[in-house]
Amino acid sequence: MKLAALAALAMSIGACEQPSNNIVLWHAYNGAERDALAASAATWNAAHPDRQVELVAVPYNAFADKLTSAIPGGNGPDLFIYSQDRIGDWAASGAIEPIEFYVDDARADRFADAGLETMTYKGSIYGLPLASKSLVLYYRTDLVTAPPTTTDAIVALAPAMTAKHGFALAYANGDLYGHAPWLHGFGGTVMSDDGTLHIASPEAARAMSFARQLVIDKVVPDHAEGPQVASLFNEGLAATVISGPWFISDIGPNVPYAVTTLPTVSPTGELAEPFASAEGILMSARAKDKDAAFAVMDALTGDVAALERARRARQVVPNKAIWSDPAVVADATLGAFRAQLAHSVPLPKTPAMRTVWTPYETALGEVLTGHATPAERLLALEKEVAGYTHVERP
Amino acid sequence: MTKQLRDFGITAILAIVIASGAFVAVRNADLAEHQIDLATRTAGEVAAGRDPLPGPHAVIVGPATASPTHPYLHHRTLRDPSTQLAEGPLTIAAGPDAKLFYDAASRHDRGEVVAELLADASGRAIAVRPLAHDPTHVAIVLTRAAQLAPYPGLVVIGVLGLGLAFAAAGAMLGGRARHVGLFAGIAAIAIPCALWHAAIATAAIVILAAMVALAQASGLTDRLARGLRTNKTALGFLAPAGIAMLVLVATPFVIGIMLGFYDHHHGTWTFVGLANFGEILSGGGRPLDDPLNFWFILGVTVLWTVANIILHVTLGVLVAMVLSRRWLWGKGIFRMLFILPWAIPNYITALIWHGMFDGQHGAVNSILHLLGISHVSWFESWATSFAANVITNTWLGFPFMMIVALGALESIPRELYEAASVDGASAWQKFRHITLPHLKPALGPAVALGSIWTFNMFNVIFLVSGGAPGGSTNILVTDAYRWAFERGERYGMSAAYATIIFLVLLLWTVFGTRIIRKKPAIGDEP
Amino acid sequence: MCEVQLTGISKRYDGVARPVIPDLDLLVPPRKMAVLVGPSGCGKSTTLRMVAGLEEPSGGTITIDGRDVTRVPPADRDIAMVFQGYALYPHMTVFENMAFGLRIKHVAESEIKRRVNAVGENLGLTPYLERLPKALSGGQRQRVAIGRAVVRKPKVFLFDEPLSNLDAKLRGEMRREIARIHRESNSTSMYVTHDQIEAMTLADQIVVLKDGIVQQIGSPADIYERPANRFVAGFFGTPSMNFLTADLASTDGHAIARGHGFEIAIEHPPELRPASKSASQIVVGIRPERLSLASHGNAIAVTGSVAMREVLGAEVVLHVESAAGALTVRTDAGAAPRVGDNVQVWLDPKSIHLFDGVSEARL
Repeated sequence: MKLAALAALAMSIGACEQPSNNIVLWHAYNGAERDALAASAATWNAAHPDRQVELVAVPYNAFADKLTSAIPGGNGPDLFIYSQDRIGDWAASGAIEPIEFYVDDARADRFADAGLETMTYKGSIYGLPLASKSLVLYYRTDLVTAPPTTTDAIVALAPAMTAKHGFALAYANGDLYGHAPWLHGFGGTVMSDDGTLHIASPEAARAMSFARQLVIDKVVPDHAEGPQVASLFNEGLAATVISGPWFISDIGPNVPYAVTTLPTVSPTGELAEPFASAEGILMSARAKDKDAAFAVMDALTGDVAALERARRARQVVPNKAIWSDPAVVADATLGAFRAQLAHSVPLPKTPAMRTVWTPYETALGEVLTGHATPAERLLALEKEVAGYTHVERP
Repeated sequence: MTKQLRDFGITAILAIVIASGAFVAVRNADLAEHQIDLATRTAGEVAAGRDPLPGPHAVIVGPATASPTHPYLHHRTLRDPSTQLAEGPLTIAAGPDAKLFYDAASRHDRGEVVAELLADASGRAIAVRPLAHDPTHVAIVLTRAAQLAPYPGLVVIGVLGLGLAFAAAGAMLGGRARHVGLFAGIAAIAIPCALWHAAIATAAIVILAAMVALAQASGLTDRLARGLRTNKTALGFLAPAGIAMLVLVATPFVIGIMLGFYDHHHGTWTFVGLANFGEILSGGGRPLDDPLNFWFILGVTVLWTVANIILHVTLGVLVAMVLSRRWLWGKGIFRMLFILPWAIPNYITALIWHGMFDGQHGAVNSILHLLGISHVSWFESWATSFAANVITNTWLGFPFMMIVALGALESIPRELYEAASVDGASAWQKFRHITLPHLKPALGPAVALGSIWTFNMFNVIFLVSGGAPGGSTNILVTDAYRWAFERGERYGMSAAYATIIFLVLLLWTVFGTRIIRKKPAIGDEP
Repeated sequence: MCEVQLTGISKRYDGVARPVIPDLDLLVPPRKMAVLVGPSGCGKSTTLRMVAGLEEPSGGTITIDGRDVTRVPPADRDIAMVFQGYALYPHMTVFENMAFGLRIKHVAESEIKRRVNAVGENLGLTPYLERLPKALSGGQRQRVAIGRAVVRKPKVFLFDEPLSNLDAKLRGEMRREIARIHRESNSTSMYVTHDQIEAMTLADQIVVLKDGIVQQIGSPADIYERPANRFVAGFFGTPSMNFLTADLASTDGHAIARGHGFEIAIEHPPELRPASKSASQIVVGIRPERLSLASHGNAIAVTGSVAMREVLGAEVVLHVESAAGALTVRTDAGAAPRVGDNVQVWLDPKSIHLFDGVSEARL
């Protein structure tokens, strides 16, 4: 820390850079989401000619790595939009600025509590939420009469679908994100907030067995990924699909569908709860003028901007006031997304979570194809992940 | 005298740069120490209930209290110890530094010891101490911005003059005194460094002085100067490429090797010596058949390289032999078709093959199904997953060997085969005694090159099997990548891996390729 | 005791209308060396390669020692071949090169050693037996190639322009070497060359080919003294024969060849074919060395001027422009005229060759 400060001091000598008053914001939005953001930024810019917001679109794949390397070097943005799962990493490495100081009760009142809370890490708030995303249940109204409320109801669709070489359900069962509803529905978790691993629990094993059974019974295809899920659904070969808001744009124009919340897991009677991820505006620790940067964050997450995003980009915004807007209320799909958020598990923010995804995917793959048994494989998985997490050295 | 001035001038510039660096570091360290000390002592005074020392901005910040409506949201209060005013909310209205106080208190609550310079380059220090009589409250002190000591220009001019006098005196005396004068002149610049207690800089300048004096004594400086003068044009042309190599190759290379000696954790780098290398080479305490054990991965990598090279060469030579037949119709078209896999960017090919090996929807399984072979889950067992990688890379790699082999085949005189026919040689004997010996000199370098490419063929492994199952088909480079980007940003481990890969390949290029080239090249002309 | 006989051999390639060899009959008597000679593309190499079995004839039969080998693979024909480019196996030593064919035939190792050493000795290759071909000079390589053929003791040796990669001095040396080997080995040889000197010096029998058709078969003396046609006459001899066009006329029962600026009485007039309308058109040929600058006997003079002069040392070649046409004269260097001098060239009627002006056949 001392070294870093020394370095910063050293750099300040002779460095005579032209200070720009602009607030730079990086984002990875496309299409309607970008348009809605741009509209809100334009509103701000019209009102603040001396403090312009400069939107910079950065490809999603490179986003996190770029930020991680740019911020310490002082080349990063003042603000950026990202989902909450990296907050732990960035907070621990001092890349992002705590903004709790700025958030008074009146501002907090603006958001649903779950929305703002996802932006916290170790007792501090690091961002203001823009939108939440989670998996929901899509179903074809021509194949399913009533929205299935239990997994048994979905399994009951199987015989008819199998008969025409289709499936009752399609979801990305190979990765942890897709598997999470079952994991939580059986009472399992991946890790607690402090990073303690709970991978090899009996609940997690039961959830894996359940997923395996779905494959054995041909209720679901044995290894499905995004594009295949979409084509099965569009061709009428999948009666239901578990996916997120991004799936809407994959659905064909003439496919009759509706959206509902995830069903209860019949063996336990508990709701299948997906991971909820929220994206928000975060502030770089190297933001030049933090007060001004916060003012921009505040405006872009305000109710006016939120309504813009909800209407134009169908984002599930955490602003409470929006949900009384007639146009938003009338949107049943948006309603289902919102209802699902009430029954979801925030994506863990601990840095250790990032080492879990790939190994978990591998383990799932082996169990789903019958190459490994859940309990043993989960034990091995926990050991593997524990091996990746940081070893403190003297 | 001019030569002496030249040597002195150039070296003095270097020495001044070192001395200036030392000055800045010492000055900054002094300043930081002073500021932090001031902040800490003031905070201690306030915490003990005494008046703050004059100058710094001292406040007392209250505990974080959760908002009644939002339990995760906390607020703090602020009191000024000197004015004894009542506590007020710590908000943006409390002044421009309010956020600094708030965040410092939060960090203190998390158990961090806060006594440091601010990272905003203002030269201010902040320190936090809990109040002696009420540990829920903390005293926070923020010093004023510090004035940096000015650059000691007069001192520099002074020592330069002194040094110049030494050097000139040496030159006038001539003989050995010239070198002694040069040494003394440069070493004089180290005097202020010694006074600043900058040991490293002092030593560096003295060593520099000694080296230059020795170089001058051995005539090296003269030769260097002459060389620079005579090759001025050449050096001018070389300079852009040289600078580019330095910036793009040498610098990352050196930094990469250095990183291997550090451990990275949440943005902090700790020097750990050879610990990363130790962890890698000892297998990290994992059994030998664990896919994370270095020796396992090295085994897979070597197997991967050998299998690929054998297949590339065999297939390349076979196809080349077919294509070199005179009677073959549409030879040009076939040649172009076979080169295509090579011409397509390899990550695209890798992604396509990944799709084709898909258990459910992949083309490979569909074809196998037609042949009556049931569903193969390519990426679920080591052997099939490895095979999928090898097949993909063979597809990518054989055209290169084919082109090399084609060139070599076409240079073989037809008479040789005819002579062998007259001698009664069989087709195999002709291949063994004519084709193969002619292919060797061309294929040797190609194999050496191909083995290095394959050893580091990241794209295929990463995109086709992705290491599945369970990371067991990873090779060294993909594992190095995973240490950096998938396993908690252990950049140090990744860099150490990269260094080991470099050393393995270095050994291979130095010794291994000798084996390949052992047989003398065959040419008709002596 | 081994003769090579080609009967009605033809060779045509796919897609080429004109056959390389339309119809060839050839007999190489036992223990003789037949040299096939002719310009490039005359089919001489193709013929040899058909005998070797490297190419298959489109028609006809080849017999070696009475056995029909037309469809027999090269290795079973009991032949050995020496190639223009030596065709040595580059990664084998000289010894291994010579032993290769024997090893394939599973000759006993001790026998191989004996034979290779003997042949090596004979060809002066003993110091080089352990060397690789690339460490040898061109002449040494050709010796190895010859040795490789000799060591197999074949019934027939085939030489495909073996000396054309060598320089002139080595060529002479190797020519004598080949002649010696042929003599000592007691076998039948076929030798392809485009070099008339090799043909003249080596051959028992010269076969002159042009466009796949045999022009003349005969001993070197025959070929030189009595060329069968204008082509053969022009092909042999350096510099080549002078040809002057003339009309054949008869005056007073004497036949006279009348050209521009000369008239030659012909002692034994050929019978002119009456059917030929232009039968009186003939070509008079005379070798440059039979022309002289000094008058003698009943020689006939042609006047002209020296256009060019090539000194060969003891002799000089003069190119003379005359009314009769361009004449090449080979004469002693001593009193030779200079370029531009007017000279009288004398030709001896006894030394002339007469060819039909149309068919170019010897009259």
